[in-house]
Amino acid sequence: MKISNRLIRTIILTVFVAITLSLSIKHFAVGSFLRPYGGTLCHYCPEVTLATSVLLLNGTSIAKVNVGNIVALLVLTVTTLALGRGFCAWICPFGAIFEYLNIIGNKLNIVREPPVKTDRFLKNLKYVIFVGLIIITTGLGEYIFRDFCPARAIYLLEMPHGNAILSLVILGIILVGGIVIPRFFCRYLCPIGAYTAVIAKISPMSLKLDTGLCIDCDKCAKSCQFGIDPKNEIPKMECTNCLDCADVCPTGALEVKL
Amino acid sequence: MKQNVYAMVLLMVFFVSAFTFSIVIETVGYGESEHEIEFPEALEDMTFENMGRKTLESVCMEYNVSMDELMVELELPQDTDPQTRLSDLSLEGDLGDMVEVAVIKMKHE
Repeated sequence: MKISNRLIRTIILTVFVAITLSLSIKHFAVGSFLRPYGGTLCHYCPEVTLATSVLLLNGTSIAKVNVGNIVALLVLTVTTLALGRGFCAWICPFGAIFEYLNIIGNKLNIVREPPVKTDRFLKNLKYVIFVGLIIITTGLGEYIFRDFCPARAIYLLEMPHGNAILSLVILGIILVGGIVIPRFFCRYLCPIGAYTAVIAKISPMSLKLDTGLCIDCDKCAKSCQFGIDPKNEIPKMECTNCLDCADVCPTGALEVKL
Repeated sequence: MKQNVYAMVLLMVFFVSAFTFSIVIETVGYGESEHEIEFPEALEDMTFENMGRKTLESVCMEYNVSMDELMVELELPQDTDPQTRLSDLSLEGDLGDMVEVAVIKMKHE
């Protein structure tokens, strides 16, 4: 029995979800037997370093920016430069949530693709958010968005208080969107996705279609969670190399290549 | 590159670069900074015994927390002498519990 690429990818993502949850449990549960580094997702989030990058490069260090944040950004950059936006599809623990939501949405038969023009317009929103976070953080001198982060709301395992309640509202809206539109947050809102998109543009690896093998069956376009039709030009900045399309292609026309 | 090969290479690059950068930054350092940047420590490895003999300054150094934030959490005036021993401060309740709650709250944020 052939195990689908999608299933393998979901299993790998679940492992990273478990690692992230274990960090939170380890951080807060005294006497836990788990033995990774301390800290929670926030201590290893590359977005913290990205948003505070202007301040850090000017020699101003920010409270609560950890070495883990800096290492995470370096690792993300190297991985994306080498292999494209694979982090988003294969590793990101918050992106994994949207894989699960897509499974739920498919079971409920409510998954919809937005119109092409709307999709294209909304995909630019993540770049606005990315730049906006840097500008606001630089101006304020501290990373205030920690309190509103939806990933923190879902992984921190604590009762919400203060601004965390707003982060739960944001999370709720994003999760509902994620059930209807595949990878809703990743496509339109994720600032880390915006950063990897820019880096991926110069990555030598990308998904390519062999037009000689393509039989125009359209299975690839239907399987893509990012609304990409591989028969047209595959945008390096949007494709996360999840390879679901390559998995369903009956002729093997899709492959990641230099 | 086939799907499974891509996944394996991606994960290998991810973990090798994470390991490498962690070692390099730990060894080489990251320059001087006003706020000390380091890997977050696990809360479970901390103990909070014999707090009465410790000063505010030694508590901050031992648990790697900010003096200003500690003063706020313990509801002390900001001009309190950092060399004051906790047993000499007018704190009601078990000192170990109070400091533990304060430290966990500060690490928590």
